[in-house]
Amino acid sequence: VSRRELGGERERLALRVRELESENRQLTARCLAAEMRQESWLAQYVSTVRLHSSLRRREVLTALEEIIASLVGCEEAALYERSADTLRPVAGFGIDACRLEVVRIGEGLIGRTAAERRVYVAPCGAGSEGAVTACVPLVLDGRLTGALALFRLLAQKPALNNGDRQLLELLSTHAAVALEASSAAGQAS
Amino acid sequence: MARKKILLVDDSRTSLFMERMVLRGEPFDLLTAEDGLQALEIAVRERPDLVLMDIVMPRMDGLSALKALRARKETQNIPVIMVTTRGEGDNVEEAFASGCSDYVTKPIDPVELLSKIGNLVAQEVVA
Repeated sequence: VSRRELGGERERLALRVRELESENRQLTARCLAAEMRQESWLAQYVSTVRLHSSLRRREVLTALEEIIASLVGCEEAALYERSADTLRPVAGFGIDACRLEVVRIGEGLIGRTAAERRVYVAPCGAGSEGAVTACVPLVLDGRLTGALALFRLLAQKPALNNGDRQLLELLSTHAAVALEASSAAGQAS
Repeated sequence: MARKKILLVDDSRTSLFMERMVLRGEPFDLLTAEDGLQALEIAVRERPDLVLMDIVMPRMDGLSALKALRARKETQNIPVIMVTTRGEGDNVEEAFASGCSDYVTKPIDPVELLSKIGNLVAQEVVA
């Protein structure tokens, strides 16, 4: 085998190594993306089952608090329920709901998000204390029933990701259904 | 290889459900407890191969349960992974000082959890 042929073979092998390295990077990225999707679906599945596992309002609120703390990673949140053209704070998770003010629909970040019926997620997580990290309008049959405001995240959670946004979008409908069903069941009994 | 027994301890039904889902399909038999006291009873009776335990719980918290596990001859060598939630830096230090094997934070990362459990269960097999 000539020196020239050996040189050519070495170049071919070096090229193949670079191709394999590139394939490896792509596969790793796809694997990571698949893991993140799986994690997000898992959280959505667990949340759905937990929210609809009881018709007792106290249980539904506990499930909602656990989902926000353990699956989203938020330690301060509040639930608002609609009353005419306002949103009244009815439950606080990690904060006292009595400290929160009634929100007029269409005014302020929470009011506007509720009016637009679109999940809001702050681009870089919550800034100052009391700032809204995310706001989830609760919508049932196209009707606004309330809102969920997320304030401070856990220390180990710098910001919400795409998986969290998907979970919040799921909560927009499923928390609304679960809360409405528990209220109806409470009135019926 | 024999199936390993893992005891999951948390007062949050959502966290327990999530942990069960993450570990579903793995070669583990899962036991659950809702507080430290119940965990202690089950650990003594069932001798799990690993305990995954939340820190903040009613009746008996995770740190007290960890100390109690380490104090008993029949449970002192069971690996324990602590699950922490918020502002618990001191708790983590105390947990390691009390003999916990590792810790994870909420929200639980399934890949990280499986990796840590795998490491500890594998060590157990070697030992």
